[in-house]
Amino acid sequence: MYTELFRILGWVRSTEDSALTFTFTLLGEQVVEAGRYWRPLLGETVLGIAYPSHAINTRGHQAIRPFATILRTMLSCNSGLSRDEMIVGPLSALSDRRQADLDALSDRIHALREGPDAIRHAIEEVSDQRGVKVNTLRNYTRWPIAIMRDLKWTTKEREPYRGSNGTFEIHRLTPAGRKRAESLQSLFDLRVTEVDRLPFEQKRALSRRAHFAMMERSGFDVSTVAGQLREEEDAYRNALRALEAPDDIPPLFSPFQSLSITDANVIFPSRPKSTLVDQPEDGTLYETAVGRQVDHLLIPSNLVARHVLVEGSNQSQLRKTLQELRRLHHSPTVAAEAFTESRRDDTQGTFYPLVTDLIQLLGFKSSRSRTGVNYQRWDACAWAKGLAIPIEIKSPTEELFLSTKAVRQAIENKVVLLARGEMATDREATSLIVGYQIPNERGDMATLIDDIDVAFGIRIGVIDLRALALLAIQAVTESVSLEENQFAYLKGFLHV
Amino acid sequence: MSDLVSHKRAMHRRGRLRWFNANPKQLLMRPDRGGAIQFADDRWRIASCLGCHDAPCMELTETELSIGGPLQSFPGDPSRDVCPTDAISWNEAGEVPTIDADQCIGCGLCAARCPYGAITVDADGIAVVEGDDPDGITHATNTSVGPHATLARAGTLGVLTAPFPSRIPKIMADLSDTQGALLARNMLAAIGVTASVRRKGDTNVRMDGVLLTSANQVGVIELATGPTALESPRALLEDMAVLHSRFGVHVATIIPVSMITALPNRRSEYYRVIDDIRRVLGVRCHTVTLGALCALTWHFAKLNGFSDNLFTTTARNTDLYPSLVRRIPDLSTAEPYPGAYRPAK
Repeated sequence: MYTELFRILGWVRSTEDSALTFTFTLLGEQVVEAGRYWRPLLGETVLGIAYPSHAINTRGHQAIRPFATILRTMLSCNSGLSRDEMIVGPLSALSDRRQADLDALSDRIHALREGPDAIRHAIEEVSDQRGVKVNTLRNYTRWPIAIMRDLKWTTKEREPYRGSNGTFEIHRLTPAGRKRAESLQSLFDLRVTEVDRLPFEQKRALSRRAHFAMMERSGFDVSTVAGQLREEEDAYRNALRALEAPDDIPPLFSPFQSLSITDANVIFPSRPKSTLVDQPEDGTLYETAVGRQVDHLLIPSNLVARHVLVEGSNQSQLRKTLQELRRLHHSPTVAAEAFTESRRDDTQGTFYPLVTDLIQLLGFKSSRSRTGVNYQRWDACAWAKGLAIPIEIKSPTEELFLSTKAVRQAIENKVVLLARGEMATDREATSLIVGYQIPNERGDMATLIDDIDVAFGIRIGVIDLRALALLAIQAVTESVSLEENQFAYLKGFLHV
Repeated sequence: MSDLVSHKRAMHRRGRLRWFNANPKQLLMRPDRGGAIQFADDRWRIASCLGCHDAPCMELTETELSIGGPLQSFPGDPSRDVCPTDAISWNEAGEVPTIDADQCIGCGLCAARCPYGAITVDADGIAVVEGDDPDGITHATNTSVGPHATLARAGTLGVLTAPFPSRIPKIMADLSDTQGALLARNMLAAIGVTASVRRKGDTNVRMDGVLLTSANQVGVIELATGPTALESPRALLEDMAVLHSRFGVHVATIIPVSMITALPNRRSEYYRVIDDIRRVLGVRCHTVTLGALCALTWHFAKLNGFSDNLFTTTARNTDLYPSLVRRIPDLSTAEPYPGAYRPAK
């Protein structure tokens, strides 16, 4: 994602050889050179974004300079725009090339400020037209809003609706933002479609002049290139004449954000060629093996014959439910999946007792911690081989997919259990996590489980509801259950 | 010829813009009244900005941010900014730092880092730069001169009832995660502890930060600025496991530090869990409140390392004041805010 943003900003671009190999542009190097004075140059580069562009591929046929259009529209809309107004206004505009386009945008925004329904309908309309969900459209605005905030161009305020009570959040221009927006009036906005029509010498002169003008506006000293710019003066003037541009107004045009890679390389030839550094395929990242295999923590279940006789009324009811499900489905796996699906909306109040009931159906004693007993940090406990096993439970409404958060809590459960000596246990016995579902991407959890074992010798086992339900179905229909030793010392994800 | 051009500010900022007229002897920081410098004639004069090219009031040096050793590859926030809210910058002429009073939270980090006492925190809790040289102690110089020798510093940056120390919980709640982490990191830097904090959004790095003391102790940081201190000890264990297996730091040598806004209630499980961790794993978790850190910073105290019981708590002893007074002998027992040194009642 960062690469894409840096590419949009013109700081990096693909090499001519490979679209997936990137190199710094001169503009990117200038950002590094700016050091702590980076802000004006960032401002210039966001204003330098314009569509269409040879530097990035975009869908659609917009001819806009988005940040500049947002700022200009803000100026005519009580100095600000809401997030949704940005979406239905400047960011959906087909063109911002004529004053009439900008006037139409501000008229539209003013009309949408009658009340909350107007903007809601408008954004739903954009969503339908583009086939993009409203939330996704809103996500697209995160970056521009963050940039304008970080550049101190905007600040959040409330704006009243014109035709009804209530207010809405608006990103209002600060004095600095207003100054920046107004400064756009003193620049001549050029787009790559126009520059492409110029003979190459003129294109070159215009691009170089525009680039160094950006640098100068950002606080850089361009005296070192003044001689070159003078040599290119005639070509630059000819370019302006060809474009019918005024010769006393500097151009707003960012070559590294607009030109093709080939053109940019020819026009700014002093860039040293980047050399590719061979990356070892099996390298390490922060001293962690990249792509470390986590499958060794998928633990196949060992089933042994066991007939569970002792159970309470809850387990008895659950046993009947599971037997009925098994009868209805052609395999225990499908029955377990149906059972799991039926508990999708369980809260703590229903899920926690379900977990202990299922564990009891496997033939292991299990009970919940009493509510309000803070010193028992675990949610439930089970016993195997005479050892207490603390259980951290996450109901699907707390966490649909288990995460490292549960691992963190499982460490604490084990430490507290060992320290307070209230129940018989030992260091090697597992600290169990039971949740609704193990994520498909379980690398983070697996790595952490390994890390904790290596550092502290604490084993953490993970069982999801589908696995637990399947084991319980097999226990009540086939009189087989999980081998006690495996349950007591489980490390990793139980795979059934 | 290169098309790369230099930034004007960077080009013109070398050495010092001003220089003392006479050799200074020592620096005294006086709450609300600014810094004063004693010169060879023994007279005290108001301190004034020299326009340091490296702007220690604005930027940490690479050395100050460099953890080195096994943690060199820790992907921390590369920002070198001293001010967590970006309130300090050069004035238009690039000669004197200027403070944006709307952004300034009065933490005093810029003031604590000014080598010549030219920045103070006023009674309203806003940093103020003395750039007018009212006592005429400086003269303009060429830009090639290096720094004066470091001045011995006495006094304090301010009283701990000042707006920033007394409002730390509220200020932390108002700061973004990134700003809060930078504040904590830079306060650690101010007391001589090198730290690196996680970049926002970097979920691969489990810990909030890592630290290195001048005694070469390596530590992990959990920063809990909200009401989540209870989760901090367990998070420290996770951090230690990660540091051990991914960075090759031996568990027994890792210093786990919870940085929290206020100490939890005395009956909180926080202290018992810390005791449990020590009993079972032999790991001693340390706790530093931001109020305690501010006291150290504002008294220009240094923390050379975490000796065994420095900034530790147990269920029976939850008071951080004894640790503080070892570093600041004349520290008042009064806290800047409830929970800064001892659990709030």
